[in-house]
Amino acid sequence: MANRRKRGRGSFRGLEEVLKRGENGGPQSVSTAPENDTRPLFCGPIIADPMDQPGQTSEAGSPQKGRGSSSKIANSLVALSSAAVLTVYAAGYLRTRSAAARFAVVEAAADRKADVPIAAPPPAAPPRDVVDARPVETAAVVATSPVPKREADVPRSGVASPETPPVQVADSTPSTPGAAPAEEPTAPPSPPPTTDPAPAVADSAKAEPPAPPAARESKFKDGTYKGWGYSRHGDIEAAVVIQDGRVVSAEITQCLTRYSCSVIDALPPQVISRQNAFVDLISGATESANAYSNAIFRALVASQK
Amino acid sequence: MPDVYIRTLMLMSTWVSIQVVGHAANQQQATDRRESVERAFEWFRRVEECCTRFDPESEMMQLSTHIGVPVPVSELLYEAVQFALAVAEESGGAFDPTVGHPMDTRGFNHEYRTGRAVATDLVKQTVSDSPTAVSYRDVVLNPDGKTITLHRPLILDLGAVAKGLAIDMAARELRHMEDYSIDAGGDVYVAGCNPDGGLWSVGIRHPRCDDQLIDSLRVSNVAVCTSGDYERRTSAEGGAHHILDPRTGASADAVASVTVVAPTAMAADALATAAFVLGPVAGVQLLERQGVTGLIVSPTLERYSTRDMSRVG
Repeated sequence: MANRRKRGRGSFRGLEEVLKRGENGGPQSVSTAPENDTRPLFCGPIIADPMDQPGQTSEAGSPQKGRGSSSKIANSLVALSSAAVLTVYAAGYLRTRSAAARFAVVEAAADRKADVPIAAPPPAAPPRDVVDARPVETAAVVATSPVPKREADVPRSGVASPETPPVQVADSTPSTPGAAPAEEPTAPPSPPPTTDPAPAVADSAKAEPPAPPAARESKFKDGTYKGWGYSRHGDIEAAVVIQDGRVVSAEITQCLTRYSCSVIDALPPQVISRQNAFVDLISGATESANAYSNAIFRALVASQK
Repeated sequence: MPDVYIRTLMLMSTWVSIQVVGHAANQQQATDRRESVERAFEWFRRVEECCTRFDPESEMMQLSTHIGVPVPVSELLYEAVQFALAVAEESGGAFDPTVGHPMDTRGFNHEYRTGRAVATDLVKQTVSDSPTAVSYRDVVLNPDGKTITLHRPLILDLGAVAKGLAIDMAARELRHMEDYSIDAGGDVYVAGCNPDGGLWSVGIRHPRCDDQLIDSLRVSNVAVCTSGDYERRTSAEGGAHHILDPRTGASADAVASVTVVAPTAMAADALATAAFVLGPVAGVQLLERQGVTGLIVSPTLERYSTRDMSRVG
C-alpha cells in the first residue's frame, strides 16, 4: 500500500488525545483513508493505525470538552465517549487510589507464595454450569484479606439505594494462580507467528533483534506438563512438551468447550514461537483463547525449574 | 521478549483479561504494574455495580423506581446514560437504552456468573408490556444538577455502553503502562505494542463457523468490539439473540455480526449494536458518519465495510 503511513514507536495516545482527535477529526477523518477502494478488501495483513491522522501531535492533556461545546464534535460519539471517560475518571480517582493501597497488601501476601509451583487443577470435566462457580470459590479465600468498604465517592444522593453489596467476583484468577506475577520465560521469540507483520513493524523501537537462543538459559525443565484453563463455555486442557529447555509442542489435549477448539487452532504455534502463554486475542472466541492461554500458563508454571 | 503480566477475572458476566507488557525492570515497577491492573479491574466492578440490570439494588435499577421526578445520579451513571441517549439520537432509535423491559421478558434476566434469575419485579407491575411503548425520548437529562428523569416507567439497559465504558476506564487507568491489552469477552482494547513489539493482532470470529476467523486485524490504540447474533441466545422464543430492534422489540436479523474499530470501546460497542440493528447498508453509513471503522457480515456472509476497513484488515 503506497499510501500507508508509518507511525513511529512511542507516539502512544491516551484518551485525551483521542478527545483532541475527535475535535479536529470526527467524521471527516474517513476521508483520510487511502484512496484504494478498488482493491479488494481483506487482502492480507496491513499495518495501520486507524487513529492516525495527519497534522496531529501526540501532546497529551488537551482540555476536556463536553457535549455540544464544539459544533464539530456535536455528532461525534467518539469524542463524547472520550469526554465521558475523563469525567468519570476525574470523579472516581480518589477511590481507585485507595483500592491500590489495599491491593498492595494482598499482592505482597501473594508474592510470598508465588514461588510455589502451581499444580494443575483436577482434570475433572465439570458440567458447564459449574464452571463459572470455580473462580468465585477462590474468591472466598481472597475475601479474607482486608477488603475495605466500597464507598462510592461519587455522590448518590437522591437515590435511596442501600449500599450495593460488593460484587463477589474472584479476586484470584485462574490465569494467575496465587496472583503470581507472570514470570514469563525469557527465551527468545522466534519470528512472530501466524500473521506476518508488515515491514512497518520493523520500524518500531521494540523490534530489537532477539538474543540467540544459546545466549539465554531456559527456565523450563524438559518433560511434558499439563494444565487446565477454564471458560464459561467449558474447559480446555493443554500439554506443553519441553525439549532442551524450549517449548516444542503446546497442543490442546482435552477440549470441553461448547464450541469446537479448532477456532483456536492458530494459538499452539504462537506458544511455540513465542515460548510463552501469551497468545493473540480472538474477538468472538475470547473465552476459548483465554482458557487455552490459562492452561498453557499453568503448564509452563509447572515446568519451571 | 519483555516480561508480560496477565490477569483474568470474571467481571460483568464475562471474562476480563488484562495484559501489560514490560514495566518489570525492578520490584517497584512490578508492584506498580500489578496495582495498576488491579485499579483497572476495580473500574469494571464499579461500572458493574452501578449499571447492572441484574441487581435490583444497583443505582440504575433504583433509578427505575423513580418515575417522573429528577433523580440526582452519580457521574458514572449520568455519563453512561448521556452517551447512550446520544447514540440513540445518532442512530435514529436503532440503539435504545430503554429496551430493558423487552429483554427481561425474553429471558435475558439471568445473571451469567451465578445463573440465577434476577427479579425485576419492582418495576414489572408498572412497566408497559409493549416493547415500543417507551423510547429513549422518555429519558431526560439535566446537566446542571446531573439529574435523570424517567418520564414513563421503564428499565434502562446500559449493557452495550457499560462494558465499553469499563474497558475505557481501565484503559485510562493503564495508560502509563503504554503497552497493554484489555479483553472483556470479545470487546478488546489494545494499546502500544504486543509482546513481540508489533501491532496487536485481533481476530474476528466467523459468525457462522465458530471454528474459523473471518478476519484478523492489526491494530493499536483502538478498541475492537464485535456484536454477533451467535452470542448469548436465550431459551425463550426460539433462540432469540441478545440484540433487539427497539423499534419492533424483536431480535434484529439483517446482520450476522458487526465489528467496529474505534478509539474508545464505549463508542465501538454501542455503534456495533446500533449498526447491527440498522442492517448492513444503514449500519455502514452510521459508522462512516461517526468516523469509525467497521465490518458488517450479513447472514449470507456478504461483507459490508467502511472505506477505511482495508487499513486494518
